[in-house]
Amino acid sequence: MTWLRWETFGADYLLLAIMVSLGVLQLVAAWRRLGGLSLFLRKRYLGYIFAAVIISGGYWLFFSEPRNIPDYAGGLGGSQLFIYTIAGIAIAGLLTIVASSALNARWGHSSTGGEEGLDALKRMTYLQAIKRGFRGKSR
Amino acid sequence: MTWLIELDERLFFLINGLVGRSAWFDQFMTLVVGEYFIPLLLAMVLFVLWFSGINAQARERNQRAIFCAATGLGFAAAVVKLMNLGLDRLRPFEAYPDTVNLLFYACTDPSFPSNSTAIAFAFATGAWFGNRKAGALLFILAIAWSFARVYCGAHYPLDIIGGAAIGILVTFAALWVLRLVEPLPTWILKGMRRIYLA
Repeated sequence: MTWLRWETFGADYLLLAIMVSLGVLQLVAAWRRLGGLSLFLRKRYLGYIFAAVIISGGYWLFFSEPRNIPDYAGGLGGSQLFIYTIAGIAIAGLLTIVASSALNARWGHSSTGGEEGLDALKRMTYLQAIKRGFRGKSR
Repeated sequence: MTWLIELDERLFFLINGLVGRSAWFDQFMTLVVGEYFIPLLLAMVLFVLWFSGINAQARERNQRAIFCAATGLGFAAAVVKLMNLGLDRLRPFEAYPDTVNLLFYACTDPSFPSNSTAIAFAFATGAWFGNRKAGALLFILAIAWSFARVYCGAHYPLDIIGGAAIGILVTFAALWVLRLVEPLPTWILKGMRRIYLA
């Protein structure tokens, strides 16, 4: 399980992947009007600003020191890179779902609309959508 | 074959010989050539593509394209690994240690075909199947990354052409395999839609 070691380089890359994924999620939330994923529901333009700042900040932080390091000297190999990237996206997704569901708890309309999939998040938070899904099943 | 190798090496030295003419461009290339800058951008373009589409059908087409890109990525890595068992072309900086301008670390795997190029082109081809604009953007990023690999002395141009051909061809194979295993991708997408992730 050497590919799962928590090393400084791996941690730095994971942080980059999380920051960039968080930014991308806010970008798509603002662009596709997915209010249920947005951290800036009332002011959509803040979503774009947040995305620009966190993505460029993540890249700046990571590349502020030399990163062309081979995997035999502490860098990441191909499979590690893949795992850290997927983990970064998953963590950012989870953080976004939790934060947006908490921040927008009073906004959603879980009882209205019959949208499926991501379209449901245009009218309700992720938590409300999941609740609606369970209610639908139990009926 | 000798003429092809000669032409390849001549083209390599033409591109690699540009190192040192512009300090800022060299700096930019050392950023682009690495395994973190462009690959994360490629992944993030696909991540955006997952949410894109003017309606549910268009979004599903994009999401199927991402499945294809991911499968193509796996196939490309496997094909390059297999080819590395039989082909062992020396890296430019190993063959010509005194003349190559190396702006990257000394890679230890064989030069032909380029693994990074195969993966980048697999990503781009997969995205192209679902969304032409996203595909074009990924092809531009793949070409930039590939150029940087030659510029920085890590690969010959022929390694790049070989890698790109592998990336494109295996993604067509991935598309065929995904059609073969249907309805599995449809079930996965339906399951993800049910929990509001697709």
